[in-house]
Order: sequence, then structure tokens, then C-alpha cells
Amino acid sequence: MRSTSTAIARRGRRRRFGFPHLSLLPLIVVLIALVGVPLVQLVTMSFSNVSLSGGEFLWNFSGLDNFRTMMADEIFWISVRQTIMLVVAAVLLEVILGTALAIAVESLGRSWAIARNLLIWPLIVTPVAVGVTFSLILNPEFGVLNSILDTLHLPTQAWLSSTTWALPTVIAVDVWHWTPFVFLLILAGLAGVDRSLYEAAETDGASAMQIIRNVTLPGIAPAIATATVLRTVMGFKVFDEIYLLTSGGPGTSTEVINTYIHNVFSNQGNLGYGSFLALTVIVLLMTGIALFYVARMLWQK
Amino acid sequence: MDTASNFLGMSRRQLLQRSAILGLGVPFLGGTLAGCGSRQGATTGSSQSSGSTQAITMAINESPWLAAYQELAAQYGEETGTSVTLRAFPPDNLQTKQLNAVQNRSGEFDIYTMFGTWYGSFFDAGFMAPFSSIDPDVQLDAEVITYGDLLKWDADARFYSPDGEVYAVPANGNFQILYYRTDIYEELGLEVPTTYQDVISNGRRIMEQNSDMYGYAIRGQRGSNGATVGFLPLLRGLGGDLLADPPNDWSVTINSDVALEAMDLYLELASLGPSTPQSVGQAELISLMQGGRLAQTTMVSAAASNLQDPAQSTVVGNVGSALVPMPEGGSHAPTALPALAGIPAHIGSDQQRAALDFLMWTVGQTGQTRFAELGGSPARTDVLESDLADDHPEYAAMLDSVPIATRDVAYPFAPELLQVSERRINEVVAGISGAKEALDQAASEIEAVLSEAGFR
Repeated sequence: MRSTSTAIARRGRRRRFGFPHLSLLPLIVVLIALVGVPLVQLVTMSFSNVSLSGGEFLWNFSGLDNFRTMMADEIFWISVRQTIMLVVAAVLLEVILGTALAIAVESLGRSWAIARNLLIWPLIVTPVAVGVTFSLILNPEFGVLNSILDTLHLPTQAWLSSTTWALPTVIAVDVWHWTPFVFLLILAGLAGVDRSLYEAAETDGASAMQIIRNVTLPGIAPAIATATVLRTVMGFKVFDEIYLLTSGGPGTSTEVINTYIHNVFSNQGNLGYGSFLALTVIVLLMTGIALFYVARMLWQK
Repeated sequence: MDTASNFLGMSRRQLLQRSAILGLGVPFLGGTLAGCGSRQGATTGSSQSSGSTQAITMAINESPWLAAYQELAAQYGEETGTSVTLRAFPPDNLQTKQLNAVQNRSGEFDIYTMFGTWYGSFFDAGFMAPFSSIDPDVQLDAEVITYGDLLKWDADARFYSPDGEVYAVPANGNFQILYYRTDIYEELGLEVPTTYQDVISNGRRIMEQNSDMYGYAIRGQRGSNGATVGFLPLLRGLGGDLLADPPNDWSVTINSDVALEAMDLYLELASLGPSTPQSVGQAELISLMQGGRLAQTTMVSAAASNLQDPAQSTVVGNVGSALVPMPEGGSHAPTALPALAGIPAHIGSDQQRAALDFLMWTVGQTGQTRFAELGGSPARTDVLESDLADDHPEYAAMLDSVPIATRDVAYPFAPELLQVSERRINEVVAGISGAKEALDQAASEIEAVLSEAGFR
């Protein structure tokens, strides 16, 4: 009896190991093909000088040449600085606005669904459409915004043409576009907060602000953290809106990492150096995310 | 377990489930891997791009003249039996697509379209086949405009040369010309300007009479080459240039005294236009002119159709054109900006032959006349001189430009050079940097570009 049950258990373990694990094989192959191979190609190109000659692309290993070029590249470091500025400002505003909107909508009662559906409209618009639309709205000569200001006898602005205001304007467009994303995540988080906590707080005579501070915000802290991480990663990938709004100008006042990589890769055809910059961004992002989770873990401990 | 339905240790139900999974998974996996593989196309000598010598594919940019070229290609197909498929991409995306096709040795396209930013580097890299390698007897008609020998490349000198091999034909003829409002000129009794100083004088008079109108506008927006090309007629008109005398002398001269003088004149022109010239690109210039807010500007000749289209323009019939002005004491120096069509070197010989036949037909008198009738900008002098000129006032300015036009920034390293010049000229125009500071920095950066490209 005992030996029979052992044999059955052993067969079960073999079966459990065999087919379920084998069924992962197609996924692993696809991941290697779609992620692994391009990553290896990217790393190889990053340490190569890719030149055009005789109708072909010629790859020559160049060691750390691209690294040295990057360290001396003024525009790259400008783009890194401006990307960080954009991400910090945009994510901060989006999280604050998104959280405020989610809390406000959740308290609307029966009409919250209508409000939610209206508020997520900017998120549905593709980044390309956002870029084109706002470039027209903000055009200093033809844009509707300056037309309205002019009608109201207010001073018109250069918006995207001003070295001072171009980056804040781009940040404002980004906030308009992506706040609904944060809003949805926080709204979902709010649904998970225990209702009895609110009842208890109300019974204890807590004001609305006290409830928000002591019940709501702690309850949705994981959702806020998730939204922050996701938007930060997405923010570092910003390209299409800025490409269409300013192409990185005027001068380099809105140059971000991805518009610069595009310039290097596509406009200059410098494939090796462009690959190195892209790899650098991946490494920096992964390091940042890892540090965030380590810090979070230490904080929780 | 029911031994009657036990197969390989699996129950009947398990067997059916797992077979279904494998049955879906294997084809999916196979399809995914097949899709991931690059489309390895023709090697030299074979013909694989469309599987037939009766069909060719041309990569082309999205543009106002695309519809005309599509119709022209359709007519060619009807008359010869060779179907020509045009695959249109935004200009920035077009070059990436073509570069990818070269890298993958793909027969995806049988004809490439190139702009000044790219044709030098494509010729220099050996991507394009000289026409003589396809047909040793091929010859361009004398009437085909060569735009300062842009069609002919000397592989040894790594530059254009009248004695070079023909590598491309114009897909669309284009020169910089001056546009002006004929009705306003008539009203104020103004003469058509020949110098930039005349332009400034006319512009100021126009603005005194009409404060809502701009006297002149420059193209200062940073882009692929717009800011640089806008500056070139003044720089070259004063005898300067970005580089001293390619291919004989590659010295950088963008920061010469002449260049500084040209930039001062350019900024004076900019002061007659919008307060943010750094945001004005070609599309904005066309819109300003169409909307009746701009009295004079320099744009490509291909923009004429936009200004004469009643559906878009409020100034139809009131826009004249003339040769690009010269700086006082200088010379006229309009820039030639044609789109060129060439044949990749790596595709099969049958496809190359079919592509060559099509391209030579397009630049023949029949092809160019039809192209002009369809709304395209012709690249033959006999078509510019024909009766079609009655409906196209810009043809006269284009004809005047033919013998004196200077080349676009079409060096082999043009993309890298323009990356520098676009940024620095935009900075001057935007007031971010002074002219001397910006042009000195540009010179230093262009020196690095030349070294990297092997021209030092």
C-alpha cells in the first residue's frame, strides 16, 4: 500500500514536472527570439563602429570608444538632465492630480462612472495625435490658445518656441495626456480600501481631510507606488509627443534622451553610438527601478 | 485509470487537451519565428523583390506631389505593362526604411527616393548602382536638369562631378525661389527685388501700410535641413559656404567673416517676420502666405501649387515668383533641392533594368510634360519653357535658377553636418546664442564630423 502510494506520488511528480514545464517552451523560445536576440544585437552594436561601405554595413569592434564619445557628448547630458526634469515634474503632477481626481470621483456616488468615462478620454488619444493637436493649439502664429489670449487682450506667448517655456509646456501636455492613467490606477486602488475603516473613522468624528490623510492615502499607497513606478518608466520612454511638438528645440531646450537617440541613430546614421546610448538608458532605468525596490523593502523592514 | 483510454500514460481527456495545445502552439511558434526572420531578399544577379520583371516597387516620400507621381506611374504601367507600386512614407521614416532594406539586402524596393540630406551618403556608401552598370548606353537628355551635377557622382573623389557616373534622376524638380504678393506690390508701386536689401526695403514699406502683415519671413525652425537651407542663399550669395571648395578643399568656413556678415543680413530679414522665427518651418511659411499674412518669402518652387490652390489659399492669382535675391555686391545663389530617384545596387539585374526603364521614361519629355500637367514640378528645361508656363508663373524663376543653382547640403556626411548646423543656426535665430559664438562652435563640431567621416 505504502509502496503503491509512493509510486503514484513519484509518477505524479514526474508528470507535474514534465508537461507543464514543457508547455512553457514556446513562450521561452518566443521571448528569446523577441527579447533576447535583439538585446544581444544591441549590446554587440553598442561596442562596435558600424560604418557604411561598399553597399554594406560593416561592423568593427571599437571597445569603449562609444563610451568615451558619450562622456564627451554635451547634447546627450543635456538630454539626460532634461529627461529627468520632465519625468520628475510630470510624474509628480500626474500623481497628485490623478489621486485627487480619483478621490473626488469615488465620492460622487452614482455618477462616478460617467465622470470616470469622461476623464479617461485624453488617455485614449494616441501620443502622435496628442503631439499634432497640441502643436497646432500652441502654434504662436495660428494656434487657438494665442487667439483666445489675444481676444481677451492678454499677452500671447511663444509657448513651444520659447526656450524658457518650451519644456514646461511639454510637461503640461504630458500631464494632460497621462493623468487619466494614474487616475485609473488609483481608482482601482480605492476600490480595495476596506469600507469599515471609513465607517469607523466617521463614527469617531474624523473630518473629511482627516479621513483622506489617515485612511484613504495609506490604503491606496501601493497603488500610488505602482502608478509612480509605471509613469516614471513610461516617462523615460517619451518620444512621439516631443518629436512632434518641438523636435527637441528651440535649440536643445526640449531635447530628451529618446529624441536625441533618434537623431543619432536615424538622422546621423551612427548606429553603433546610437545603440550604446540606448543601452545606457536601459541600464540606468533598470538600476533606478532596482534601487527603488530595495529602498522600499528596507523601508518596510 | 481506465486502461482502455490510456495512451502514453495519459487519459483520453488529457491526450485531447495536450494535442490541442500542441496543435495551436507549433504553428504559432513557427509563424512567430518566420515573422521574426528578416526578409532576406535578392543577392546580386537574382531577381526576388516582386518575383517578376513586370512589377517594380518604389519607396517615395509623402508630399504634395505624390499624387502626381502616382498617376504618372499608373500611366506608365498601362502603356508598358510594367506595374509600378509606390510605397509612400513620411520623409524622416523613408530614409530609415531604405537603410533597413540595404542592411537586410532586401529586395523590398527597386527604386529609392533620396533628399539632399541623404543622396551624398547613399552614393558614397555604394548603396546605389550607377546607371551605366545596368545599361552602358544609357544617356540623359540634355534637357534634363542636373542641379549642379547632383545626378553624377565620382566615386574616387567622393563627390559630384560633371564627369561622374549618373546615379539618379530627379523625381521632382525643386529650386528655392522668391515668392511675393503681386497685388500689394502693385498697390504700393514696388519693384520686384533683386537684392535682399530691396526685399528689406519693400518689406518695411508693406508693414508700414499694413501692420497685420509680415514683410518677410525666414525658415528658422530646426529640422532635417530647413534652417541651414534658408541661410545658404545669403551665405553663398556673398561668396561663402559651409565648406571652402569640396572636393578640393574641405576646410570649414561656416564661421568666416563672410558667414557672419550673411548671418547679420539673415537676422535683419528675420526681424520683418514673426517674433519666433525659430518655430517657423516650411509648413508655417506656406500657411502664412496662404492666409494672406506674409508678403514675401523664399520657399521651394514645389510650394507654388499650394499657393494657387483655391481650396487652401486666399491669395490665388496674387502670388508672383522671382529668382532668389542676392546680397548687395554679391550674386544670386538659389539652392537646388530636388528629390532624386536611384536604383539600389544589391537587387537583381532584371529588377534594375525594369527600374531604369521606368526612371528614364519619367524624365523623358513625355513623362515630364505629363508630370507637370498632373501638378508635379518638372525637371526638364523644355517643359519649363513650354506653354505650361502660362499656368505656372514659377517656371520662369526656375528656368533662371538652372544655370546658377548651388547644391543642397549633399555631402557624404550631410546628416552629421546638418545635425550641427541646424542646431546652431536655430540657436542664433532664437536669440539663444550670438552669431559668432554659435558659428564658431558649429565650425569646431563640423571639424569633428569631417574627421570622423574620413575627410581629414
